[in-house]
Amino acid sequence: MPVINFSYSDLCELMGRDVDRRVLRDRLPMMGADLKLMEDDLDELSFEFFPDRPDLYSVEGIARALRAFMGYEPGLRSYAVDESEVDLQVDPSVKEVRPFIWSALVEGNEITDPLIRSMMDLQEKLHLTLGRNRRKVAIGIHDFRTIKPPFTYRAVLPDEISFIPLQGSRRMTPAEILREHEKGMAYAFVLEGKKRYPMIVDKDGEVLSFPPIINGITTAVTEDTKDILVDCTGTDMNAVTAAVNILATALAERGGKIRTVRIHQDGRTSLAPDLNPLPMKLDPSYANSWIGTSLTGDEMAATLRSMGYGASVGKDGLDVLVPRYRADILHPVDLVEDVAIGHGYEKFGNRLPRVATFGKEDPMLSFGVAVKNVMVGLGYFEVVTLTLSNDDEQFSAMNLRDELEATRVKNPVSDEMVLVRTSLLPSLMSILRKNKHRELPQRLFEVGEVVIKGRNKLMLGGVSIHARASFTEVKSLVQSVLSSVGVAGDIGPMDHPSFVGGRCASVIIGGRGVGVLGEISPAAIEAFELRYPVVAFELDLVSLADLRASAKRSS
Amino acid sequence: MSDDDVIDQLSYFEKKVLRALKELGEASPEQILAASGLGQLVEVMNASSWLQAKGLVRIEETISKSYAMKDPAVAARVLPERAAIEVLAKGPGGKGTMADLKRSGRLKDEEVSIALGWIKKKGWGEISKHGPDTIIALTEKGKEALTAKGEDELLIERLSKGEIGEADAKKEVVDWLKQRRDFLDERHKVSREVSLTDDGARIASLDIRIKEEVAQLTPELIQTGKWREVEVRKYDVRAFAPTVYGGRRHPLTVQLEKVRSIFLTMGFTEVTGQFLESAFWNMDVLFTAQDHPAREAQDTFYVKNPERLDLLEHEELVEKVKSVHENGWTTGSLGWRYRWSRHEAEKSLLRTHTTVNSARYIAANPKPPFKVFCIGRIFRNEAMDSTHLAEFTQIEGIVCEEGANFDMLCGILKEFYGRMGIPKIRLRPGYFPYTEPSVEVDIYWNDQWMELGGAGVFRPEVTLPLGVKEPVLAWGLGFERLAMLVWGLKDIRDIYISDIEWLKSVPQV
Repeated sequence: MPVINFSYSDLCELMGRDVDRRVLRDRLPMMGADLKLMEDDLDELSFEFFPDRPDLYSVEGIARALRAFMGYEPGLRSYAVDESEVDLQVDPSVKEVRPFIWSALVEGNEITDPLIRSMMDLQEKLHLTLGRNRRKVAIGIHDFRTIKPPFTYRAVLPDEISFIPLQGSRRMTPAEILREHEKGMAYAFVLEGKKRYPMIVDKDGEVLSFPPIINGITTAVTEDTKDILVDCTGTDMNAVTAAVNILATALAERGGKIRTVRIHQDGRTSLAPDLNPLPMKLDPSYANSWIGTSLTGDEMAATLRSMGYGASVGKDGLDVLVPRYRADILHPVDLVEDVAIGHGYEKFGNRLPRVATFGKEDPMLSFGVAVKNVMVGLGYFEVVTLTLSNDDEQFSAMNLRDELEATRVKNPVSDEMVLVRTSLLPSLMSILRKNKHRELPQRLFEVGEVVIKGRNKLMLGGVSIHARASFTEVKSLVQSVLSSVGVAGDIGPMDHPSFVGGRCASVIIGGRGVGVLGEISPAAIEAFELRYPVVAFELDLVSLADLRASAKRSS
Repeated sequence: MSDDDVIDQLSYFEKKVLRALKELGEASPEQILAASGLGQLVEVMNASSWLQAKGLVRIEETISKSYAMKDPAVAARVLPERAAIEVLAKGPGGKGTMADLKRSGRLKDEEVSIALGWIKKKGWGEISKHGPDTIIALTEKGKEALTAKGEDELLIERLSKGEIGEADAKKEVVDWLKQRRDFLDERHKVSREVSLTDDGARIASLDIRIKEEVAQLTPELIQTGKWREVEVRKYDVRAFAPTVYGGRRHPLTVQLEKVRSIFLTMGFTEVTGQFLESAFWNMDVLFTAQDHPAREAQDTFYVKNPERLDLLEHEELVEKVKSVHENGWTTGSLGWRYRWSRHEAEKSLLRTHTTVNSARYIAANPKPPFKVFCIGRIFRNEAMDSTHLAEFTQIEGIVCEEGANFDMLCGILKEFYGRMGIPKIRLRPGYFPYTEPSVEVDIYWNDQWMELGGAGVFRPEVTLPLGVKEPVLAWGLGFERLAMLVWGLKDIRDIYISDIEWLKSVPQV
């Protein structure tokens, strides 16, 4: 989740008043933020905000929300938008590449260090979150005086034109930029497989931007800039317009005047941005029943105003005006959450369920608990291990091949974790390895899950390591486990590559193999860096529980 | 303490010693050993010091010095200075040089200077230098000494016969012998005298019955009834005994079972599920947009075999979920306004939360009321380090009944965390794609707020396609984080390494 760093004094300036740090510490989390850093003698603050609120990814946006939330300026924040004569033509060629563009002109900005820093941070955070790493939205910010309208958004062939990109020193074609430029290489994946590349050019054919990769070198905002052109391109019109709205209103919070750009696309002309709030209806009784409050219409409208909405009691429910920088309102329930936040989360928690229900445990897990207690009674230590494993541990070290079709991860994060285990024994052997410097004997067991052919299975595994560990010991143990769960089984010879030949047996109950026991082969003992004899067993608890249930029925 | 109590607490050995002292008065341990009939001196000594601690006897220690020859063979040898004067006496005028002494064969080379030293000290000769020669001339005293043994020689003779007490030897002479290397052995001897104190004398005069004492009850003693005639020796209960551990439960499962019983006593039904799930159940049903970052390969383990899980069993739900994503279906939502991909939903993965089990339960049992919980392993594609695991244990509960709401959820959270032993929690706004409102649960731990769990009311986009009209309240937490706090672990991986010493050290309750 994005962490926003900003200056305390800048925040106070944008709020128009000094706000005590302690108040920020207490109130910002209750508005939906996680404190990361705040120290009394440090001007730098750091808060984490949630992915559904990109409008809070700038100090301007935070100040705007706080002014409402703390009661200084509740209600809808409106921004005057004048029209301009600037045109942006969208060529149909972009449809296949990056179909959407939106824009805004913000004039009369006073470019200061805090503004530049905030805009760069906001742009980066929006790219990452709302923009899904520039795939869904990419943003360009330009010094308007360096470019000449009308602008054109079109797709070009990889080597059709050339320009000097930001952080570049020579003219490059789009194809060259993707191959050689730092940003080009970093974001080439977004344009992978495209035959043409998107380009925003001005009247003279000068390149403003090669979205979503890089801007032209001539349009960079400097401290002499007054007027700023914002462009956002992408694959989702809602996200693209939200990004423009968030950027333009953030600039306006510092005194910029927003003007529209005329966007001509598919024979239609739209004025961008459109900051007219979206009207929504909210039924107070729905909201009250969802969150368990009994607010009157007026009270609810007031809580919504403290969350930056326009709200008034209308004919059938509340008339709510949703500001256009809010990109997260899909359903009235989203307004309901803001009613709860505005009301104050600290006021909730006054009731408990009223309908009686009867608790019910999962019988298999309860069986597992009973078996654990049996093993503890037999002097065994319980261990808990991870189910992700690898071929070396799970198969090679145990002298096995993957015959049970282990569930394998497509995108493992490390070589250690590439599959889900099919047996508990390798996990137990690994724990013995980790305890090899500890006193012997060691007797360990686990009741844990394995996945065989895509299905989870609960198993019991046990190991015993010491100088005199023998088949008799493990046979006695397995007999004890079987008798304690009330089933009788046959122990008969079998071959298993993990065990010493002739010292391995299977447990058969009613003709069904439910487990294995024996002396672990010296090769496996060595593979796990151990130096003493090990005996082990593994039982399928699901089958044992079934057999036990049917034994009970027939008796 | 009454005299009877004192007697009652006397051991067998103590009684024996008291009785012997009553006869002997003051006595050495050896004498007591003989008189008491005990077997070993150490028994007498131990009993005496216990009695001394009880104020019944007094032990007086005296330290005496005695002397002996270090090597008795040395006593038979003539002292070098005597050998020297005997050589000199044979010389002209009772004189001779050092060279004469060396030549004589009576003295070893290294003894010559020793002899000269003692001759001078005893006044047996005068030593003078003539050019390169050192000349020794016997004095009158020296001549007399030829026929009479000195005091030191007499003492050596006596020592050769045995040890001599300090009082039986002249200190001056002893000091002479001490100056000679490897001659004299000085020995220190502690002798003890044990006597009854007034209290001891009174107790000893009383009737002290002595039973045979045994170190251990044996089957024979019990079976023959002889136990009635013996006394079992008292044990030093403070003496070291090793701790035994037997078998033990792992701390994680001990705690998880507590959580399980909290849920069960609150009327919840336990559910389980599969590690292998489809993206559909794990994400799409939970209204997580198909381009949500949590679905990316760097967050989720996708599975190779099978690569897809078909959704044929759930066609009806698939249609609803598709439209909820695309346009909100009939929920009143705008939806995500994109084209939903079935292909994406069929991808198989290792479940990233137990909420998938809740979703499946609701789909199968959409009629409230229900209270369901699940404790299970979940997987996140993260590199493991001291605070991150790729696989961990999630605890999750859901509640649905008529009239359920966010206020009830917050009430349940307080109740649940309270039962977990965490009295103070803070609820603040949070975000999850499938809940609205969403809550972050902070717990107060070591004087600060720590994030420990999330909660929320399932969005209508989640519950309506599953067929539930009432709000569904849900919460969950990662168990390892709580465990780290409780056990003070620095490294989360330690939970799964199961160091046996750690398993022994963590309480089972």
